[in-house]
Amino acid sequence: MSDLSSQLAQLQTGQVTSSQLVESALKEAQTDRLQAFLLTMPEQARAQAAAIDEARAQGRPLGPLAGLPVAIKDNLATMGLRTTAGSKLLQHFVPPYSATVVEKLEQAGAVIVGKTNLDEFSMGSSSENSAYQRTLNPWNSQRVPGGSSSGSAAAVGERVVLGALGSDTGGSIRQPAAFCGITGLKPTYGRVSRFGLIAYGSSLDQIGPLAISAADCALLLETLAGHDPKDSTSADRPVPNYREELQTNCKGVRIGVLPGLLEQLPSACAASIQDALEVWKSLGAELLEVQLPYLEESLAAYYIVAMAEASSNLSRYDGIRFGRQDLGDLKFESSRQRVVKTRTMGFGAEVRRRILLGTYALSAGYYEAYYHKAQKVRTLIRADFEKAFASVDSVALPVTPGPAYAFDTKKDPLSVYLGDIFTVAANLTGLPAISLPTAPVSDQGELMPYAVQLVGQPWQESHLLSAGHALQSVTDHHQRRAPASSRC
Amino acid sequence: MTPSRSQIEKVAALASLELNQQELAGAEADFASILGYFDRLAQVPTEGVAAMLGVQPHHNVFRDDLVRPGLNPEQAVQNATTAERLAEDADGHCSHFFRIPRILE
Repeated sequence: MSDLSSQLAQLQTGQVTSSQLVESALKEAQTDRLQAFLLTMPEQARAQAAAIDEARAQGRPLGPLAGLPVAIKDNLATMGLRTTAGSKLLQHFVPPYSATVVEKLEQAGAVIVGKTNLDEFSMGSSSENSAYQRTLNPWNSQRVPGGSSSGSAAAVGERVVLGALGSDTGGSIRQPAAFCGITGLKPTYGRVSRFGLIAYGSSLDQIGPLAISAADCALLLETLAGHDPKDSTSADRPVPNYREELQTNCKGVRIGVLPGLLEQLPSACAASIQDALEVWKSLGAELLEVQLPYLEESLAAYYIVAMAEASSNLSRYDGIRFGRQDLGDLKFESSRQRVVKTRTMGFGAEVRRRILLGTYALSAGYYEAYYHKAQKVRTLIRADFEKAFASVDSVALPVTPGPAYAFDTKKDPLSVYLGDIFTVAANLTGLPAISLPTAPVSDQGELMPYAVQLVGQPWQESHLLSAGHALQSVTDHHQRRAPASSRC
Repeated sequence: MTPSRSQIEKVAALASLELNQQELAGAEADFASILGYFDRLAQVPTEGVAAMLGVQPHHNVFRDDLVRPGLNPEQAVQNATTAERLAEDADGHCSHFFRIPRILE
């Protein structure tokens, strides 16, 4: 079965039962060849699948995702089930409530089979920062799957499940989707409730779907989107029927391209994106040149804002209310000493680095030069996009400067941050953006997935999904998997 | 603007983190390289540009003050440090408080 939509059709026609689908997903998730899962939920998943199968047999009304096995990133709270955010600090954390998106998935009938690996507190681009395990790229086990939604992307790339949730603070849905050859959508800030998402950068974080196709992302977004009184930043706007708005042509669609941008990429990557642009053109889209002069400054502005917000958000982990650590027989002279020891032992190196830099950027004497300056640059970047949107519906960008890289090859933190240059602008501006697989590229003799990104106007997820669906109606890159010989 | 080692120690104290000498040297190198990159923003003219505090306009959210389901006391403290999770009174009743190490002598 190639995607969620066809799985759904087969469930509806009785060709397969939810119990069968869930059993098969659980089997693969528990074998976990790619180390994508931190937790599987066999009993709960089997019970839900059986209940849905029974309801279907009795002709009772079912939700729009009834019976579909899915996975969720382990920074989404699940009531009664351990939620770690990939951190040792939360190794014992069992939330007393579920994230709104988890409740929505369950109400829609989706069956969550497991929780997926991530870079600690979503800080990273490779899974190398997870305190638990490294997730492998489904195309090549020597290479990273991307991050921070590493396990969700790998699980879908490997077809363990055909849909998963991730979160995207600076590209954490789009970049792993690109590295694993699948489709990933970061919705407009406020489109999806963040209640129950373990916070990293609160003005940047957004939950979204990872799936095989844009049409499947549309299916999932219909369930995820909408106002939530528990998240005051979630927007009280009607949720479109995203699937009904999908088109297979691009008549009247205007896509912005940045002159000279593709020349900066390796030639195979530039050609891969150029092919996708040509397909859109052949489907009726108009390609128009636009300028985003401050795009290059987005990376510095993003990391300052993200680190500052992280330093504030992560101050709650004091080992008293959350973050219990096994401190053994250590004795402490003061309460503060205990808090310091808990945090120092519980956080990994990259999280500590970002907390330190964020604290510095917010500290007296440096606030103006860093945090405040970054907020002003943020305004300029948004103005860039607003100007571009006067003439186009979306702007095409790469997702990443190259395909997935090998583990342990990026030791310098700044070199890892630089890989986010094309994704962070959408978070700084709150704009929706989609990552769509393009033709795989040859890198060091190995074929790896690559992707193009469309950044859209606020609340215009329909445009992004529709352009993606049109592209995927005449190409099959989103359905491609690694040649069997190169898999581990 | 590369901070000195003592400034980094001060930042670590503000963030409730401890750095040993080796980590301090590493942090010094990280600060130099990463802040060095951030300093490019100094070249961006931003005079008269408003700071963007969030991507959406902020507005107050009002609702009626109604009793709604919430966490029970047991759930509310379930992630507290196990050893000191619940204070018990003389009769063994749980009083559902976070218990923290002594802060006053």
